[in-house]
Amino acid sequence: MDVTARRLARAEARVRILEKLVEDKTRELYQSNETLSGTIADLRSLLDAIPGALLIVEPDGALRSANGPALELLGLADTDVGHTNMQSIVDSFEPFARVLEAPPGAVVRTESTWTTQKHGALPVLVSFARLGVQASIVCVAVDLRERKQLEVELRHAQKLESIGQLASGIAHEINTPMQFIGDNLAFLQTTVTDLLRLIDVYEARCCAGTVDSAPIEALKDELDFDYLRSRAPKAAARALEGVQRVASLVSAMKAFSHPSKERAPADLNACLRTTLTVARNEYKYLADVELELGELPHVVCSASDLNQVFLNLIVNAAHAIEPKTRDSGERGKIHIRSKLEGTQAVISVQDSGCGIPEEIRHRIFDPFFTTKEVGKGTGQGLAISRSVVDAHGGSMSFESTVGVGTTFFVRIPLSAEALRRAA
Amino acid sequence: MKGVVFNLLESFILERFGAEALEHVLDQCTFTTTEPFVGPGTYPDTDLLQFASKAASHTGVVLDDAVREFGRYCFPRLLSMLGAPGRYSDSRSLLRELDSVVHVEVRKLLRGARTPQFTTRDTGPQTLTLEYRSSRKMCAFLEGLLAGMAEHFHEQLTLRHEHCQLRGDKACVLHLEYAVSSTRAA
Repeated sequence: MDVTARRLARAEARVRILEKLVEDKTRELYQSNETLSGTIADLRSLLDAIPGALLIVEPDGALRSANGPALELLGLADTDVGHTNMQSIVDSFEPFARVLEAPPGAVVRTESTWTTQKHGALPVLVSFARLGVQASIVCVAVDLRERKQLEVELRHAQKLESIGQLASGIAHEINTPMQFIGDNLAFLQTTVTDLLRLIDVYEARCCAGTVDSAPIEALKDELDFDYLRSRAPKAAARALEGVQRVASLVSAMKAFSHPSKERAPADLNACLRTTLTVARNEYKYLADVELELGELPHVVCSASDLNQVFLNLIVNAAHAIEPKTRDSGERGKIHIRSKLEGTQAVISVQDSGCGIPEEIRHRIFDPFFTTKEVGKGTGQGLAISRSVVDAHGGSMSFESTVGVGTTFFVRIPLSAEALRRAA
Repeated sequence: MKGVVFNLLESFILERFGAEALEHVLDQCTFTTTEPFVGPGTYPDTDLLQFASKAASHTGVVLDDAVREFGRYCFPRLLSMLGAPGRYSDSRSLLRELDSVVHVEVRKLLRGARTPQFTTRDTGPQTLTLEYRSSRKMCAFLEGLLAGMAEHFHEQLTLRHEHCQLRGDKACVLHLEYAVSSTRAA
């Protein structure tokens, strides 16, 4: 083979090898692209799944990229991303500028307020970092609305807890004078009876003419003695009854606010009675209460927690009745029952209130869900009640008819085993 | 060693000594591959050494001198292959970026390329110390490349090869002194 033919053969072989290399590279490139596309899709899903808004912002504030939660938070569509500037949203652009001057890898964190068309003023916790060589800024923002609301509720709950603790002490302080007021009233009641007996003897003597009755008769007229005679024993009796009622209320408050969370055998019927006494002010002008308490064995439970559940249900019943009473002028009815059902104690609180509309029934146990006016309900009552009942291994349910009323059922297992499992 | 160097050696022999000489040298060699060399391919260093040795022997040139001349021949072609002929204005600016830029580009273009390590130190306005480390110990080829580089930038290079890996040193240390070439000055 001559030189030219050999060179030509080598050139042809080179072409074949290079073609094969190009094919291999093309295949590799295709596979790399596929892997890259999959990785990008995974990353996008991951970024959309994180419970925070992730944004990439240019140094001048132009929004370059945003994940799903960020679009939702800012109330933007995908197509808005290239046409939005964060300077029109943030209350201060200073942290953006600060992170650009910070060393690579440094993270700047700050609480800020973003104003969006969809949500108005939004409190957010934002972390800023510089993105590599592109001098862009990555921001991760967390919506603080729920946390802020929780902080308010927590402060409110702490205040209520303090009041509860004070109530226990005040109840004790009231109890002591009440005891001697009651004792003295009982003494006065006996004394009035005795004095009236003495007066009767005097009157008999007057009628017999053994004493001069004229000044006595004059004084009787002046004092309206007949009225005093008929009213004094009743007044003493009513005062004593009032004191006894105060004493029972104080006793109920002490029992209700007992701080112990430890579980111990408790009489659920006694808990219901105590709670009714404490809640009386909530329903006494609106509804009559009917108690239908069946025989229940003692249940191992946290009585103070269950008291809270019963209080929530009774107060909710009164609030549900209020609008109907306001409209019709008629008193409503709260029917409280307890009974033994298999291995469970079942407590029901039925009201003749306005009922729960179908469309919100699935949300009533959600934390912070309330239909009550501002200041009347925090939306935590039923959520807390259900968590308490769950912790006892029990369950909560309800039946409701709009315009007729609602019945809540609380089922607490009697067996210690069920309680242990729940704990 | 990447196939691009084999191809350059083929071109060098072809241009300097003709097609028959190339065929003769190839016939003398017993490479590990029977296929022709292609640029992106990777072949044993011993094949390149054999190729260069046979070529030097055939042309009657001392091997180191032949390798130096081959390095000088390679420089403008390698620079062109990297697509950076206008990026550098003199040898020193290129040498300073040899590891951080040039060899990064080489590794991007030629997968699996094992590039040597270079460090530079400016020792004066026109002088530079270059440290070269490579398991291939191709310092004669490096000297040729440096000469080709100086020619490309119209510089006059005075080179002093102080330490050498071939003499058992850990690295080759080359002191380079540049002066503006008379062709450029004119």
